[in-house]
Amino acid sequence: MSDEAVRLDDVKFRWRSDAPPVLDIPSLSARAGERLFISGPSGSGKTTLLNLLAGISQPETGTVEIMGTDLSQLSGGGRDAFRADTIGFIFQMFNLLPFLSLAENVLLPCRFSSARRARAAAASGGAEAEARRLLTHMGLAAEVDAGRSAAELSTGQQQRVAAARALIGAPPVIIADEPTSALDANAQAAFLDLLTGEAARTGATVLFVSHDRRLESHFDRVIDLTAVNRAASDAERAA
Amino acid sequence: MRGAPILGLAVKSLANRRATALLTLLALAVSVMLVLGVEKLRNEAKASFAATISGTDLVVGARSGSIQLLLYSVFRIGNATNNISWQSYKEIAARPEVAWTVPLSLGDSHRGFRVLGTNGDYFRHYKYARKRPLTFAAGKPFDDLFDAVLGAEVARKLGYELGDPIVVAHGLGREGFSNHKDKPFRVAGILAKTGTPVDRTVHVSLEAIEAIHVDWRSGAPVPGMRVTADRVRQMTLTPRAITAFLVGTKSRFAGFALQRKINEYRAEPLLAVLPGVALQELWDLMGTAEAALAAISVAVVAAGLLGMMIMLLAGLNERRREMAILRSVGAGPRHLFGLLIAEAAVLSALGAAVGLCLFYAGLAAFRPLLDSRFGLFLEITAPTVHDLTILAAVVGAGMLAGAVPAFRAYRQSLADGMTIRI
Repeated sequence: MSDEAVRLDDVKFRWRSDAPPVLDIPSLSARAGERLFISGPSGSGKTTLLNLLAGISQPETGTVEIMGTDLSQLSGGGRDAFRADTIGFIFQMFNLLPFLSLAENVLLPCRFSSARRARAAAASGGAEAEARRLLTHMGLAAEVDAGRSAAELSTGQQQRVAAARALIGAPPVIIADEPTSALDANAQAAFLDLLTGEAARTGATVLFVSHDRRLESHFDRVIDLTAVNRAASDAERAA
Repeated sequence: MRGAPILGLAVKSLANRRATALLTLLALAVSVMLVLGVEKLRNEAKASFAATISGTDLVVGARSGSIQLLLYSVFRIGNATNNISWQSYKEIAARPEVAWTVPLSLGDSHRGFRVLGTNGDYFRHYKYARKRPLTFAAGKPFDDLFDAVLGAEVARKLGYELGDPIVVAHGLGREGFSNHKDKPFRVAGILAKTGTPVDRTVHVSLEAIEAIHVDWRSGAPVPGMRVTADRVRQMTLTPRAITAFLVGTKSRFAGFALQRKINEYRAEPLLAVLPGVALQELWDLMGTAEAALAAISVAVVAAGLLGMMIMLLAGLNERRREMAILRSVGAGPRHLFGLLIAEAAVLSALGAAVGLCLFYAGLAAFRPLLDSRFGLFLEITAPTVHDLTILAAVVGAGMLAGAVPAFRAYRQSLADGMTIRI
């Protein structure tokens, strides 16, 4: 139990009580520090799964545990605070707030989690210094020094800023939702090396959701969401 | 790490939408300026109104309404329906409870300014504001029969100086052909500014009023009867009647008793009013207009706040990505609620601050105009507690208005979660 970072048991979810379930997962787990590739085409319940893991949606039945904490035991505000402390997210695209500087974007989770701010500060002697270190590590030192805004970066650069944001303050779980789909093959590989390398340094568990199976080689284990999610296979069979 | 980070985001997010934010801010600022301006005008008008007459216990005139009496005797507005006979005036003035009286005789004008016939007691006993006496900016009270003492504004507007000759017109029209040019006056004194109708009055002696009308009957010169200025000096010029008079009594209690006696005066129908009471009645009469003005300025502020609410609501749809990103890094729906409230608070606080600056700028710019055109002298003073209350109320109402888009953001973020909808 203690070495499982993420664990789902008998999780069912539907949007309305009279609608068919969009998610029905008897069991899904990831060990602490594991790099898990979740392959999921659209319609496989990917978005719903991410919202359940984030504690934004609540399952109809079953439990979602992150780092040993049953999310259903937390209040709404408690789940938001838990998410801030525990999970780093990277979206497919448009991850950055255009009105914040690159460093401010990276520091965003520290606004909502004092634990991550403290860990970031402990890592580099200050949260701002840690943001700077991560951005430099992501190869963005020149962009930061030039005072570039998010809109002035290429998509690949934007995704690397998003990765730095997900990593700051060493959250134990990183969830990435198709973060490389807008990148070319070379950039994809470079991005994944940076992300998994930095995650390995902090021992973070990485859940990487993508439909692009060419990326599997970067990961410890592969799960096919359409196989794990009985609702998705039902839907496929029905179709 | 809770309130401040949201406030910082609110400021930066607004700065990112500065075009619409600035317009919204400007609308709010103008409305705040307007409401402060209206309040300033209201208070100053009321204060200057209440300061018109002070230290006088009774105003006495022919029987009419108390407001009418106050209007023509103190404010020089409108006309008396009837006069008081000189004999009645003398009788009342001689009563033991009377400390002093000031006779007033109205009816003529000089280039739009009222001419008031009175005597030297006027300059001794007429008081305004907090019992301030009239003071002379130049010259002295009238001494010669054809001496005139000008109010500050009369002298300033018409550019008169001591010794200048002036011709009084009969009645209240502009330079008519009906005037008293055969008997010109000379400016003997100019009063210091008071901010009251005294500033707009030409003062002459009662005898002078009598003298310029000695060859007139029923409002027109008597044909063939010409009494020259030199000859009139030889005549007895006791007035036959006056328009009104002011009374100071020896004690306040005596004032009430005297008022009753005058109102029951048998020889002639007279009316005595307490100026404070009549002023209040008159102000109450204007209360509706005053309240309407205040209501309009409040409505303008409401429109400004409504504009802000619309701006924030309209922006929500385009900001779904922003909301989803914030959710992903740990913001709860209540944070997004707080974000929108903070934006409304920042906008309305800035609106209030800019409005205050605009108000002072406007005050500085329009002060001379208000003073010269309406005789309303506005002082530039620090914001009053009342002003600060208004500003706080605007910010409070702004945050309340912000609750509508804030609640929508709350609902929207619950529905969207971290899904980025573009």
